[in-house]
Amino acid sequence: MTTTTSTLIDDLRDICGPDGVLAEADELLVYECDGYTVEKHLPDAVVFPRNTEEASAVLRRLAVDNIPFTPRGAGTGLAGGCLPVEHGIFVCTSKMKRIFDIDYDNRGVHAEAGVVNLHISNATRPCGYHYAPDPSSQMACTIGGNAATNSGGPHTLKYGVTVNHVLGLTLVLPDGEIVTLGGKAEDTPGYDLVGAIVGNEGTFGIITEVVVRLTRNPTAYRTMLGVFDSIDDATNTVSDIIGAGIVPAALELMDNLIINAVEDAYGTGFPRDAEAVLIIELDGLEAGLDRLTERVIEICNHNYARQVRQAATDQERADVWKARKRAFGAVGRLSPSYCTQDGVVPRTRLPEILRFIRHTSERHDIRIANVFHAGDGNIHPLLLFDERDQAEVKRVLAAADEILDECVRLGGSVSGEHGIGVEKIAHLGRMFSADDLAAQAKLRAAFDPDRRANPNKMFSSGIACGEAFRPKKQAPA
Amino acid sequence: MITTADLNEQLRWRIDGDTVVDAAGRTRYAFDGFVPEAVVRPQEASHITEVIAAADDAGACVLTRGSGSKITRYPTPTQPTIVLATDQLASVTEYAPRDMTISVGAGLKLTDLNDLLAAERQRLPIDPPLAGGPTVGGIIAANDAGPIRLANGTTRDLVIGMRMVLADGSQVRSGGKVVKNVAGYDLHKLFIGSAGTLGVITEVTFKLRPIPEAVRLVVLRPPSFTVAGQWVTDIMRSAVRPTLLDLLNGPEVERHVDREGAAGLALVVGFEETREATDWQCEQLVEKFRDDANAYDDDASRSLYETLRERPAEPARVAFKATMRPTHLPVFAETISQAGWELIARAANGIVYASTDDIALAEQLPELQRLAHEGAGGLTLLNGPGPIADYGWQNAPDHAMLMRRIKDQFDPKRLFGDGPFVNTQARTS
Repeated sequence: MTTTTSTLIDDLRDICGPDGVLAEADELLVYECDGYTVEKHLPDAVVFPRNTEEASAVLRRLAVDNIPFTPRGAGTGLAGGCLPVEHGIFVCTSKMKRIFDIDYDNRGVHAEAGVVNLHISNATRPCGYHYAPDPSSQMACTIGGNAATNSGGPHTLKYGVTVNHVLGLTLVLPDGEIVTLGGKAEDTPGYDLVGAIVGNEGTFGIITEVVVRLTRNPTAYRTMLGVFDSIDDATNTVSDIIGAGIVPAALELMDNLIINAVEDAYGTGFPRDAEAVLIIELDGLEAGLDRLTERVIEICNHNYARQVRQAATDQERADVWKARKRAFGAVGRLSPSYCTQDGVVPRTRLPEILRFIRHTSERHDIRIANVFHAGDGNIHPLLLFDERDQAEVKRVLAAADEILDECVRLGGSVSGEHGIGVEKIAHLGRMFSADDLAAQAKLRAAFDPDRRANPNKMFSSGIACGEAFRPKKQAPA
Repeated sequence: MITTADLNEQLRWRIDGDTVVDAAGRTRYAFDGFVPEAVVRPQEASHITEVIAAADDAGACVLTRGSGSKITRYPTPTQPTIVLATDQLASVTEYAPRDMTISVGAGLKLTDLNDLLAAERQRLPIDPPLAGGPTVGGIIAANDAGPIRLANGTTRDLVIGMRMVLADGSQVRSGGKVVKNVAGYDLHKLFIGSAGTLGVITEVTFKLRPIPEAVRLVVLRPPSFTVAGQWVTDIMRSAVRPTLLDLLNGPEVERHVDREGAAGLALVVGFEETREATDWQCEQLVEKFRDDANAYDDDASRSLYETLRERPAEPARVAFKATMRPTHLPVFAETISQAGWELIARAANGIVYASTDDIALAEQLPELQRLAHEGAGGLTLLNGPGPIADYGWQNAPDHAMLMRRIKDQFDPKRLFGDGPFVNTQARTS
């Protein structure tokens, strides 16, 4: 049953302008899913407020008819956070693209939620700054969506995730009330509300504006490629580097399947016969960087690296990163479909979880490729399959489930950066007790007592999902 | 109303052992002339659940206490109060040096934690004053931080997991032991700055950092606050990457920076990195500021750093913390300096700690609050005459409103009291 009436659509058009509402079935089709393509539902309408005030007016109007809503940025999420599970309206931030001010002296940028992540770094690069969290989808994903999901990226190892870079935000509560929290002044007394709101996955309301921290660009880089004949050697290298007190800017692992997919797609020059490569990037000031680099190379060699290459030019560095950030896209060459998982283990348990993944792959007779943020212990196994083969689909589901359970068993988490959405609702219950989840529900109730903000996400509420999904190919992360 | 004797009887019946402090011992937990009706030193979370049940039965409040180093910031209780001392919740649950994470009891003192970590050449890069022996739980509940926050952030950036006991007695967990984790809400963020009003923190998991190879400070002597502000801007936009930038005024400079005299201002710039990078950055500053710069060697740097980090804790009759946009700081600092306040500012963070023993200066507080507000911040009274809670939250009405809603969800009976937030919470509609 749809929640919309022609009066409602008219009212929303009054607020957002004649072209600010989509309500026809053919127009809505592209909004049936986000980067998690396993489950699909059409929203009843998509609304495009042009600023915070319009977003507030939209939510006030929806509150009148008690209509649920789902905030949406660019729809690049990988956990189904932007899925209108039981009908409802999408409130889309894509027309909210203003950067209000770039304040270098206070190291803050005040921007609307629909601004694309990379555009902030592009705008501030001439002055030597950037916005540090860099999810692989940063060319498309929005800063508001990043704040809603607490996005990560390869460079979070040294620089932290989204929550470490959001200083303030404007949130429209489900009843339409606008609240402004934090900002360029640090340490608002009392609870760290900005910190608690980042990562709410749209269940507190709609983040319409953010103030984010700018980071100085490093003046020197050393980007290395460690080539290994065994995955164990590569993962041992990761914990040895961290154990030596070196915090690289990034520490990424790609296994043989990924290396070959990337080579097929981009021809970067990675050795196709290597079992694993580690991308190790040190950054900062020029002084002292060579000594750290030598130390890293020593650790690689100590762990039987076949070779350690170093990017000699900016172009070579860019090529390495292009290959890494587009790795998911290259996987299409390996398999018609794949399912990406996003678990975390303590860094020292990487050898164990990688071995577990290999055994799981053998046991279920499916191919699993690995490309992930090794320095953070954040794994991304890509489970390859052909969706026409129903038996294989079942095996993929079972394998993914076992891998996430193993992450929890090793003291980790079922999601490092993609979020819970609809995909991992069941898994959340395996990480947390009923009391833990009840406490989380209290927090949600303070913002959204009627549970109209992105309902049926993160927490189970009688809707079966997660268990019964059919994975398909996903959009590049 | 329940008698003190009955309340203690109740507690002893509920919790075995010597966790309930006797009448003589309770006087050691007095503050502001107030002696709590009961003091419990729980050894595990289940003891706290029992204390909460007893408090609920008796209509008493529960006040969580670490080392007591900040207890004077709390309003004096007006109803029967059970002090919950966390000193026996001080064990190390798990330390995985190669994962650079540690889980510890909330009652562990920061100095003990750092001693333990130093053996592995690691540290928790939060450096609030050590006077009074603050516990990690207390530091989180007060959201306290020190000079190196410029490079390392504050507790919100370093706490990755937490265990707490809530007002309904439930023992809950949030976050985890891995450095990257988006499973569920970051409930533990609420407890940062919560001053004990949402529940009792029992265990905390931190991410850690290596101890830097070298730490060096350069002392600059700006001729005025305006110039100091300009230097801060210049330094932050230059090739160097300071990890601390503290601005001190006259009395402070005489006391700590230059014991020979030469009152004025000092801008202390600190670097923590590899030996090469640290030395290179010191050279950069000396080259740029020449006679105005004095690069300290390792030993002198360490000694000055220890002074800087302790500074806001020195007892004074009136003390406040003001926050603002960093670019607003020179105007604010100059105003209070001329008015006679001693100050130390985290200049690039927009944070000023000011103090005085001249009680008359307290009259300026409302005006100074307005001035901080002009810089998009506010003022929190740390010590002084009158109700401390009158300051701080008026500048953040939305924040106060949401805090009240959260408090209503987590502690509807006000079992944990309202902490320093009392007036705002009662006042906001």
